[in-house]
Amino acid sequence: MHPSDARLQALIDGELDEPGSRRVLAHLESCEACRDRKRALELSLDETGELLRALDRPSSGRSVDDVIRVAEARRLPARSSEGRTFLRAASLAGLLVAGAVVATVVPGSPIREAVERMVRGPVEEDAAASAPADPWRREAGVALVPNGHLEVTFEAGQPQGVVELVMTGEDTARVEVRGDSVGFVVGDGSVQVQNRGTSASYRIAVPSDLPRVRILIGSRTVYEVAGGRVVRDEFRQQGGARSLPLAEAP
Amino acid sequence: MSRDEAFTEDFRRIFAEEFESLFRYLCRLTGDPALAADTAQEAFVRLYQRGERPREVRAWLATVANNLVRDEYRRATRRRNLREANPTMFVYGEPDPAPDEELVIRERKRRVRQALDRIPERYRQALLLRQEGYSYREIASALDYRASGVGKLIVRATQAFRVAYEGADASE
Repeated sequence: MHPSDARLQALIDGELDEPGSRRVLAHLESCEACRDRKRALELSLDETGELLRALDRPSSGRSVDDVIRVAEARRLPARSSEGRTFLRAASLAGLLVAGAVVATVVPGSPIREAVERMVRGPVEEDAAASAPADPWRREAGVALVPNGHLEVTFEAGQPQGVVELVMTGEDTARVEVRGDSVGFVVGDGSVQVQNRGTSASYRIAVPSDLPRVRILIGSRTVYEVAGGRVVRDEFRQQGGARSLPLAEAP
Repeated sequence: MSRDEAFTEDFRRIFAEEFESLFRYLCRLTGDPALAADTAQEAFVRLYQRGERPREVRAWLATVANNLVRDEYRRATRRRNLREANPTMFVYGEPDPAPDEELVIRERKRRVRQALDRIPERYRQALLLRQEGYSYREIASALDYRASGVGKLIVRATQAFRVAYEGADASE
């Protein structure tokens, strides 16, 4: 009896037990048709492997230390009462963000107006009154309404490009980008900037009354506000703006 | 050596042996290297948080990663729906197009991607896990499938992929 394709495949993959393997091999000795089928399966597998290699990228660029740092950082707040409070606050923030999203689709809503003004730039009469024009306006970016906390994470450092930090009296936080295109992943109070391999510059506009703010480049915290107090700040005053090169962490 | 230290050492060994393989599998599965890297990292973060080695660690990692990808696709659909409802709220910059590549390579890559996207998810996962050297038992465990059917699954998945590749539209 001829072995099925599945059985021949299992033989090729080394998945048959010893007696099963012996039986199929003995059959192949005397059956040219099955030998041809086996060869065809092997060829198909090899060619498929070759085709799939076209999709491969050289490396993920992630290290075991990065992974352990992320796991440890995530583990700490979950153990403390502060962490539980934070999780409750995050849940509330989620609801409020969802509320804000709904509000933005309601014509006449003040949040919608704020977002439209921010994204599309000032309306004509405002533009006329506010010269020179802000170079960041009409650039790409992302906006969200944080509730008590904001975390902006740049996926990686860059050989070029800077981050500017501005504190605003607005309710909305913004991460604006120029000079290159990047992706954003927006969560509740968090923005992940997918900037690996780019040379963009950024401006982060933060509502000045936010009690919790973190800005990270990779796993390095470069700016942090906790309990309304600045506890870490690597930004430096340069030419009228507070900025930080996006170079890799030392 | 404490239990934590022993696990951390084991974890580092698992990372060295398996991370890039999982990344490659996810890259092929999703066609999105950034998503693949994030997902592989998240699967390993969860392994670290678990604090002990699962019985079949590769199958465990693949299962977690498959679930994360499925969740991410659901979230992406929601984000897309939200952006379509209100395009001013979220992302208004898009990632760069891929840098220029040699035409033939680019065309092959597009057809391979298209072929993978056209075959059923379980075929795609089985085929890609097998190409990463997963055993039938590991594939069965990762896909919640009966081990005795994995050989047939791989034959069918390979055939479906080849048919889809040959039929992939070269002019698109």
